[in-house]
Amino acid sequence: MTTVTKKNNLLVYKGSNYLRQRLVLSVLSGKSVKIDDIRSFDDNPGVQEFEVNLIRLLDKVTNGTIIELNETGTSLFFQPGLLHGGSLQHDCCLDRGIGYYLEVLVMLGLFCKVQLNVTLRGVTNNCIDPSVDHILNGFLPAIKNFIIDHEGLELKILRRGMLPYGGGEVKFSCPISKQVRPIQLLESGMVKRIRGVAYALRVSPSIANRMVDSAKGVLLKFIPDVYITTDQRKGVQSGLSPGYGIHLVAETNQGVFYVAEQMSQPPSEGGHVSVPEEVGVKAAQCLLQQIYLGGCVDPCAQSLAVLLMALSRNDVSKIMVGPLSDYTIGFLRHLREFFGLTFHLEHCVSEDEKEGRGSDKIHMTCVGIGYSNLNKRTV
Amino acid sequence: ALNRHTKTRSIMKIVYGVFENYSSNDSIPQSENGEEDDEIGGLFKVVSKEIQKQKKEAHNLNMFESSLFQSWNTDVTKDWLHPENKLLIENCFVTGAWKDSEDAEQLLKLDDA
Repeated sequence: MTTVTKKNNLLVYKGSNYLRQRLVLSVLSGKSVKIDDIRSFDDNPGVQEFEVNLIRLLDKVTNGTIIELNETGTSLFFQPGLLHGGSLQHDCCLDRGIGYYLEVLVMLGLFCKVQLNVTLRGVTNNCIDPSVDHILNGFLPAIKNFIIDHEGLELKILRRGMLPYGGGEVKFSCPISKQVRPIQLLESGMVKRIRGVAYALRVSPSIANRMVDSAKGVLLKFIPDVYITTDQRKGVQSGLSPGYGIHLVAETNQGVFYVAEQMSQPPSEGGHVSVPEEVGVKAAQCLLQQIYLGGCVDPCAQSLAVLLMALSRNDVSKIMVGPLSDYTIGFLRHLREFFGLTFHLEHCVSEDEKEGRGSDKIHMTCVGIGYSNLNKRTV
Repeated sequence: ALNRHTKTRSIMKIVYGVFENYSSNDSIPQSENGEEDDEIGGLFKVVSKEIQKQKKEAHNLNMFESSLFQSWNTDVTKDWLHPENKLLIENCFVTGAWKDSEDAEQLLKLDDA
C-alpha cells in the first residue's frame, strides 16, 4: 500500500491496484511514479489493455508526459507532463466502462490549461464501473459544490452502448477554474424525490416499462414522488449490443443526489438470464442501500470530493459522508503521500439524532493546500 | 465493509494506521533470518503473522480497482422492504420524522409557547 521508496520527486509503488488514483495524483502533483510488480504472478501478467488505454488517454490530455513500460508490462514509469486538455476523441477499452475513464477526466478537468472537450466511445453502462448516467447525476453535482461558475460543465449521452460490443458515445466538457473553493457540507437533507431512466437497447421497448413498474413498486413504499422515464433509442444510438437497464436517482432537499443502477447481463455470460422485473427491483433495492449509506455526496463520488477538498483554497473544508469505501481509503492514503495532506476523520456525534437515518456518518475535515491552476494565472 | 466502519472507534487509525507500520518496517528483515527455526520436523512451516500479513498484502496489491462501493452485480445485502430494515432508513425520506429544529409541528409548538 504505502510507498516503497521516495526519492526526490519519485514515488515507487507495487501492484496494479489504485493505478488510476496514482496516475491522477501524479499528474496533479507533478511527481513521477514508478509501479513495479504489476500482476507479476498472474496468468496474464503486466498492465491490461484497459490500463494501457487509460495511460494513452492521460497522454492525450497532457503535454510532455514520459511513459516507460518494461517488456512484460509488469513495471511502469510515469513522468507527468503539463495538463493541457482541449478537444479530443478517445476510444475506450471495452473491458471497462466509459465511466472508468470519465472519472479521471472529471478529476483533472478543472485544472486543465484549455477547456476540456472530450468525446469518448465505448461501453456506457456496465456493472463494475460508475455508468455515464452515474457520472452525470452523481459526480457532476458534487463538483458543482466546489466551483462558483459551472457553465460549460456538461455531459451528453449521444449513444448508449452495452457489453459486449459497446458502441456508446458521450461528450464531456468541463470549464477550467483558477482555484477550487472550500466547502462546508454537513447536512445531507432528506430524500424528497426519486427520478430515473429505463433504457432498452435493441430489445423490445416494453421491457423498459416492465422495469419501471417493478422499481416503482418498491420505491413507492417509501416516498410517493417517484417518476421514471423510458429512454428508447433507435438505430446507431442504441449501440452495438442488445441489453437493457435502469438508472435511479434520489434527490434530497439539500440538493444531494444518490445514484443506483442495474442492467441486464451480457448474453455471453451463460447460465443466468436476467428478467426485467428482477432488474427493476434490484435497482430499487440498490438505491435504498445507497440512501442508507448516505452522506453529502454520492457514496461513489467520495474520492472526488476528497480530492477537491484537498486542493481547495487555504481554508477549512468539512464534509459529512457515509462509511468510507475501500477506494476512498486508498485515495486518502495516496493524498498523504503525494501532497502530504492528512484529513481529520471522526464519527459524527449529534444530540438531535433520531433513529432511522441510515448508517453512522463520518466528518472529514482538512485544510486545503491552495492548489491553483497555473495555466489560468499566466494567461 | 459496513460493519468495519461502524464498529471501530478510530477511523483515523484504519485509514492512516498503515503509515505507522511503514516506519517500523526496517525491523522486519531481522526476524526473517530466524525463519528456519519455525519449521517443525523440517517439513512443516509455522505460518507467522508476518507471512500472513505479507500474503494479505500481496492479495491487495493487484486487486480489482473500482470506485463503486460494491459492483452492481453483487447481491443486495439487505432486503430493504423488510420492516426491520425499513426502519433503518425510514427517516432519510421527507416522509419520515424531521429533526426537531426543522419539524413544522415542533416549530409551531414553540410559537404557541
